[in-house]
Amino acid sequence: MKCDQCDNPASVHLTQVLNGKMQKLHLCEKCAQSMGVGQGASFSMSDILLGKGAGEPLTRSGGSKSCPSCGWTMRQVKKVGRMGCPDCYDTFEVEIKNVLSSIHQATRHVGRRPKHLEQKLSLRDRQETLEAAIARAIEMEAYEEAAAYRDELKSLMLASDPAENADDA
Amino acid sequence: MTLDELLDTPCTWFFDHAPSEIAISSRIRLARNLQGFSFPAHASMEDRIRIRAHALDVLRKNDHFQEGFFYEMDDVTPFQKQLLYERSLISKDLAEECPQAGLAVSQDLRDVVMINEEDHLRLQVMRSGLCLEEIWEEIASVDDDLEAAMEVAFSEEFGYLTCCPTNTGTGMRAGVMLHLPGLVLMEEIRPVIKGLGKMGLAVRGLGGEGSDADGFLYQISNQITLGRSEIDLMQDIQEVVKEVIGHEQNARLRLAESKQAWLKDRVGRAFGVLQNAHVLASKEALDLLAMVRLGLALELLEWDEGHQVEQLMVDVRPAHLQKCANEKLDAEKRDIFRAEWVRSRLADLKKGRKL
Repeated sequence: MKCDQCDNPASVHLTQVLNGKMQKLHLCEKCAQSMGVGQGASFSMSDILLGKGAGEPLTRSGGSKSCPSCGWTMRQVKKVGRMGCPDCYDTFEVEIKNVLSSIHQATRHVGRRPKHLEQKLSLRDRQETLEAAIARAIEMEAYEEAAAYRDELKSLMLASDPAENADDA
Repeated sequence: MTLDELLDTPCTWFFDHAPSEIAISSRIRLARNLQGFSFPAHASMEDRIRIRAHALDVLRKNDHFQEGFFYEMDDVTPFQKQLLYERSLISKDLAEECPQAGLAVSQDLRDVVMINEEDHLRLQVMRSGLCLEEIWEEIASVDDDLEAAMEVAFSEEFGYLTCCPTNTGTGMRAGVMLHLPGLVLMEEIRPVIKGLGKMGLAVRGLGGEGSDADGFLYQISNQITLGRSEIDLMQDIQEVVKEVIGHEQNARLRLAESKQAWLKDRVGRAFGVLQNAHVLASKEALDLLAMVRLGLALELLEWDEGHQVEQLMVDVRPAHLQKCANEKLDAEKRDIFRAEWVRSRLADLKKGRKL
C-alpha cells in the first residue's frame, strides 16, 4: 500500500467518517511525521482534513478575526491546524465547532472534569433540584415540606460559600 | 539520581513478561494546558521558561515523583535525548524540536510529564502488559494533584483545551502495543488493521510498511477524544485488544499446526542469521529478534535467560547500541557492532537450540 502524499510504502493507516462518508488515509512514516501523526505527538488529522477542505465553514469565516489573548487568527488555525491559546476556543467558537465535529463527530465534552469544577457543577445540580422541589411543594401547598427544602438549600449555599451568604442573612 | 543512572535502569515495561505475552505494554497520555498562557509553540520564550519552572516546581513536590528525575531539556545532550526517545520516555518532538522543554520522570520510570511539548503538559503513564484501567487510576491521580496546584485550561463545553483540536475534550490517548507475528505471517494483519480503522481506532506500526512493521510491533490507540468519556474510550480499546490477542493466538496455533516446517524454518533461519551475521541493520535485527521471540513463545527455541530477547530488541536501536559500545559510531560501524553485540549475546545462550 502506498502513501497518499508520496509514493513511499504506507505504514500509518487512519480511517474516519466525515460528513457521512468514510475517509481513509494511508501515510508513510515520513509524511505521517511531518503531519504530526506520531507516537508521542497528537495526530493532526485536522491538518489533513483542513488541507482537503473538509472544514468548509472555515472558508466562509474569512479568518480576519484575531484572538484578543494571543493574536492568533482563524487563517493561522487553518494553516497549521493548531490553536494559539486556550482562549482561541472562545474566540473562534463557531468555527472550531465545525472542526471538532468533523474530527470527533461531537462538539461537547463528556468525561473527566477538574475537581474544583466538578464540585461546583454538582453543587449547581443539587441547588437546581432543591429549587424545583421547593416550587413543587409550594404549588401543592405542602409548606412544611417546602420549608425543609429551603433549610437544606440554605445550609448548602452557606457551606459552599459562607462569606458571600452571610451577607444575605 | 543523574540522567546516566536513569538510562542505566532497565525499562521494566518491556521486560515484565514472558516472550509469549502478546500485549507488550499499555500507555495513556493526557494533554493539559495552563490557563492564561499561549500554547508552547506560540508562547514567548519567557513564558515557556516560566511555565517550565513552575511545572517542575510543582512536580518536585508531588508524591508520584518522589526521588524522581527532573530536567530542563537544554541540559540534555542530543544523544541522551535519543536514548530517552528509544525508551518511549519522551516523544520525537521533545527529543528534536521543542525549545525550553522540560521533563519529569518518576523513580520507577512509569510516570512521565513532558513540559512544553505541543501542550504545556503531557502526562504519560506506561506499564507492562494490558492494563489500561490500572494506568487510568494512576494518571488520574497525578492529574488531580496537578490540577490542585495550577489552573488548567478547561471549558464545560469543549473539555480540556489543547493546542491541536484532535486532542480537545479528554486530551487522552490510550494505546496498547502488541506483538503480532502470527497475524503477519498468516497474512491476516491487513483485515485486522482495516477493521480497527472502521471502529475509529488508529493502528500504527513501529516503522516500515504497515503490513510488516518493525519487529511485528503494532500500537492500537483511540483517535477520538471528544464526546466520549475516558472510561468508554478505554473499555473499547481494551475489548478490541482482547479480541486481537485472540486472533493472534489463533493464528499462532494454525501456524504451528498447518505450517510447522515453514515456521521452524523461519525461526531457525532468524536464529542462524543472528548467530552468524557480521553486518546487521537496525530493522533487520529487530525483525529477526521478533521472529526469535515468536520461536520462544511457541517453544521452538529455549533460553535459560528469560528476557534476553527483549533486552536485545532495545540494545539494537541506534542510540542504545552506541551506549553498549561506549562510543559514538557512524551508521556503517553501528551495523558491524550490532552484529558483533548480538553474536556475543547469543553465544552466552548455550541452551538456544531446540528446533
